[in-house]
Amino acid sequence: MPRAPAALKPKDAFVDWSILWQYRGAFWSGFTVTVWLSAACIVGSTIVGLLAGCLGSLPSFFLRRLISAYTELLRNIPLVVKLFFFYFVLGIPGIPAALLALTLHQSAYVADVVTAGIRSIARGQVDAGLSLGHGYWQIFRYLIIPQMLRIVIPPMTSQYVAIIKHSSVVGLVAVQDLTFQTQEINVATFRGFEAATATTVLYGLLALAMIAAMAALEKRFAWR
Amino acid sequence: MITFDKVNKYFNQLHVLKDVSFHIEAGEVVVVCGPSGSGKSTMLRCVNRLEKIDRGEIVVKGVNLNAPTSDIAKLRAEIGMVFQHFNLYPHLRVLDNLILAPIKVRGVSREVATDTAMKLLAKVGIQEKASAYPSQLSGGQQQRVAIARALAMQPKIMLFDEPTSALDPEMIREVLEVMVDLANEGMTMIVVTHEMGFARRVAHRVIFMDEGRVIEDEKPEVFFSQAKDPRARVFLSKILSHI
Ligand SMILES: Nc1ncnc2c1ncn2[C@@H]1O[C@H](COP(=O)(O)OP(=O)(O)OP(=O)(O)O)[C@@H](O)[C@H]1O
Ligand SMILES: [Mg+2]
Repeated sequence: MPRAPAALKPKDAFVDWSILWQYRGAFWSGFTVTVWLSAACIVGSTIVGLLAGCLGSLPSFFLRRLISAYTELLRNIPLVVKLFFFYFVLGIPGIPAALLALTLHQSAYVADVVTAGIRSIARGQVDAGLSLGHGYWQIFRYLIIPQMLRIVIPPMTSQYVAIIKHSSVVGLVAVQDLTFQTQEINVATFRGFEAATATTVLYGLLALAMIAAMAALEKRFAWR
Repeated sequence: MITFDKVNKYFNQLHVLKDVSFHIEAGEVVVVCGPSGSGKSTMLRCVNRLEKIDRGEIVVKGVNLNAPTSDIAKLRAEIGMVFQHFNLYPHLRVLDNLILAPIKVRGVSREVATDTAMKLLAKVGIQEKASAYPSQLSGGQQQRVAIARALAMQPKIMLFDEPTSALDPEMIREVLEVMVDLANEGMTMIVVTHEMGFARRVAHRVIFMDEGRVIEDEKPEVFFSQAKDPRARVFLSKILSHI
């Protein structure tokens, strides 16, 4: 349960960085939970989002409405409320509830990115494919999907960083991620200043690593 | 080879093709011209049913395009199309642009398709760019690749929609050369273009369209010197003085 953080202004207090070393085990375990939880949700929301985005781009009115209802619903309910719904209402344990809430939440945004990516592909590509005798499925498979995958890399980067950031709420259902551990350390030592500083740096490094990895991926698949 | 019989086409309320009729024999080269918005592109896109028509009849190579039983994909594979903006696949290298359809549509083996593709690239003068991406080529080179890609399906008919109007003047000629060669080899061609020099050199007929109608359908020498319709004469004076 969230507790009120101890008000400890750095100027008033003697700063003691040694607690970081003392609690390295807690930091490390929180950090690994954040990393694997984020990684799993990145994979999950990419799969679900790609599927939803592709289905929503097919020339079917019904599918388009279905997918847009899906994304609207998920985007308009706060992440924490979804988390509570799975945990308290459906009674799913903390970790699966967190995985489910984060994955579904971000999959709606990924689906939008995918839909926009497909829409941005020039109409002329379909014309060219049709004129050469390809059917719609081949055009989707060999022209639309590969071009879309390349186009969505930059906007996907911010989606993935968002997952890392949003994963910080999972402590609310007792998943012991980095943010949860930080709070625990603060409660135990009243060293919120030191702990939160270290945590900020760790989240920053994670985001930077994500951005660098995606930039490398973008370069790897460059056409120009 | 290609017959349009009183073809009518609407975009919602807009009547873009009005009783368009003509017949094109195998081996004929027909240039289509006319003011912007007169329906030239739409007419061309009806030939391989990229657009469906509302009334009338189109028969291509003996296949009635209206008939629901017609195998349109098979017919399309035998009709090459070249677009104003090339429409090359940006994510595929030049060679892969050429071999995709032969492999996936025709089921040709990769080796045979590659062999044919390299010959075609040589024919249009860019075999050294086989492993480049389209974005690394000039506009003229891209359009020649696009022509080679269409030819890779060994089409019986080639459709060109303003193939040189997105190109710088110095690149227009290299593309027209390829098209002239093709015409001289006996390819059946419909070419929407305002390159009247090309029309004079290789066209068997010139079709002039205005507001969705075929206004003139003449041999080039007749069309250029004695077009009957005043709209055609105004159009000609504009574009000939422009060049
Ligand atoms: N997909 C479409 N939906 C609605 N209207 C269209 C569509 N395509 C073309 N039109 C309209 O149909 C008319 C004929 O267009 P078309 O492109 O065939 O003319 P065009 O002779 O090729 O002109 P241009 O020389 O500018 O290429 C125009 O008024 C155009 O705005
Ligand atoms: Mg046009």
